[in-house]
Amino acid sequence: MSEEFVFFLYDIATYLLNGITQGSIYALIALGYTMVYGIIKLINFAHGEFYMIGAFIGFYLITSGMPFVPALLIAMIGSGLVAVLIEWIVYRPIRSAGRISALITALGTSLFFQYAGQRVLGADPKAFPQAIKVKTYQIGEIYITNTQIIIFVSTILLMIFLWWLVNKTKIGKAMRATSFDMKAAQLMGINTNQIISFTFFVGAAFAGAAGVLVGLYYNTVEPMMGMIPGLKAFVAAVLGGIGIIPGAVIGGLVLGIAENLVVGLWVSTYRDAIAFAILILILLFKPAGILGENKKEKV
Amino acid sequence: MSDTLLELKDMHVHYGAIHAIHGISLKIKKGEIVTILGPNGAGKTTCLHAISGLIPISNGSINFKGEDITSTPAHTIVSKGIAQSPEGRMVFADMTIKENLEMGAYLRKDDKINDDYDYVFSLFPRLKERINQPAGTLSGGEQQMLAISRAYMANPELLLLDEPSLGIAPILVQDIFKAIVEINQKGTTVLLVEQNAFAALKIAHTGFVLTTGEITMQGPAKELLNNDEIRKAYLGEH
Ligand SMILES: Nc1ncnc2c1ncn2[C@@H]1O[C@H](COP(=O)(O)OP(=O)(O)OP(=O)(O)O)[C@@H](O)[C@H]1O
Ligand SMILES: [Mg+2]
Repeated sequence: MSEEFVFFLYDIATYLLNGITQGSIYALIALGYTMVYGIIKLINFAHGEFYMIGAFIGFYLITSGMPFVPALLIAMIGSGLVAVLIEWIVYRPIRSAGRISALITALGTSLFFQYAGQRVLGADPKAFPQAIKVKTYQIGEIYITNTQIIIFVSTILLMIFLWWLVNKTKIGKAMRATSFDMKAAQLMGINTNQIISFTFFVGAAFAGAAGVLVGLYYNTVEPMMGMIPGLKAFVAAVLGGIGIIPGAVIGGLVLGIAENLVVGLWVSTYRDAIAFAILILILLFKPAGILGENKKEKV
Repeated sequence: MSDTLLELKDMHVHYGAIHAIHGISLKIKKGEIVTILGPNGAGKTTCLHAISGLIPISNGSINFKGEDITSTPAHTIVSKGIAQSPEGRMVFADMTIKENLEMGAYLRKDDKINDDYDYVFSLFPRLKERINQPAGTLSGGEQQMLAISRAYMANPELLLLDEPSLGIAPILVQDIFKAIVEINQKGTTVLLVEQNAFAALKIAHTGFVLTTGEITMQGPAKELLNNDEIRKAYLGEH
């Protein structure tokens, strides 16, 4: 192998690593999109704001001296509770009003948080404290930071937890039953309103975790930070197959890797365009998403 | 003590401007199999949805074991002792048979649950053979067996069955109706909605005929089975 080619491979490996890091964040946010969609067919465009709220809770806690892990957990719970409140105050009253009303309401909620956030928290970006000292490890010519490793590990742990929750616990099975058919679930004695609240909680807690991890990675938080990642996570959810939990993970990773490869090998100004190009392609050629199939259901 | 388990009094149901149920009153006696017959669109499913609390009634009352359950939410109705196997079965397609049955027993905490798994598997051995298979891969008849078993797992006093014979091979219909009789003999009261009037009247004690939202005929099942009008309308005799 020529030396140039070896360096090219190192570059690719670095883009892949960055892509997986970014993709993990998209995946964590996309999970909430897909879970909420799966259960009440709502595209919750305010979902990116839960990510922002998580980041800010993490910011304030870590700034006040709390260690990283408890701050992360409290930020998750905080984002989750805000989502439960929003579902209860905003979405529940209009649940039967049709999808367009719900979509517009979600956009309104999103704007509310963005602008209320600028008003209350200040519009300027804030420096996220270095909760964990950055260390860089070198393998050949590939560099990886401990922050990246923390993001991978946290994401994997959260996904294992979600898998266990959805497949092995009673409340998780009730979530699956409710997302299959709300009336059938009620006939089992399942309080579907509670299950919907719980789904919002879990989805937003994951987004909140992503917010804190991003704060750690990029060292900055600001009230508008939820907008672009929120939209990209939506693309990731659609790419994987909206409503399908593993789809959100795959969609997030594919999107993160695609972005970083394009930016690295081609032009960096296309970073944000990639997501929307992917969205258009997927809607044209496989609207059900990567994992989406025709439901096998006997009539 | 009265032996009435469920009583509907002058029950009306509207879907927006559509008046689907025009004031029906009926009593269901503990221990019986009661059947509601009627053509498409008569309001049979609407009745069961109203009893289960899935849709609100616009007038009248629903009384179960002496308690007014008229505006009780659907999930609470189950805890009162009413379970339903809905029209079209509605089994959770991507969950296994075991998980579907677990959902049926969702509210239970007693220690009889395992006996009831054994019991439904003895009624429908096919389900046991496929216990870890997703419900969506079952045949229509097997899904119906699962839907009935799932409702039974709630340990109800009143079991509502909406057209269990719909779209199912005749040989399986026989098995299913035999199982309904067994469940009833074990002590569960059954309200069976059917278009297959002959099969339903053969196993029922009491029958009601519902036509466009009103009860137009009622009586002991044996009498209805011999009634000329019913024979003409539902049993295909001319
Ligand atoms: N969700 C709904 N919205 C509006 N009208 C409805 C709705 N559900 C049922 N209806 C109407 O109410 C009437 C009774 O319907 P229902 O489904 O209860 O009849 P059914 O006796 O169960 O019929 P089938 O034998 O076809 O199942 C019908 O005229 C039907 O069109
Ligand atoms: Mg019906």
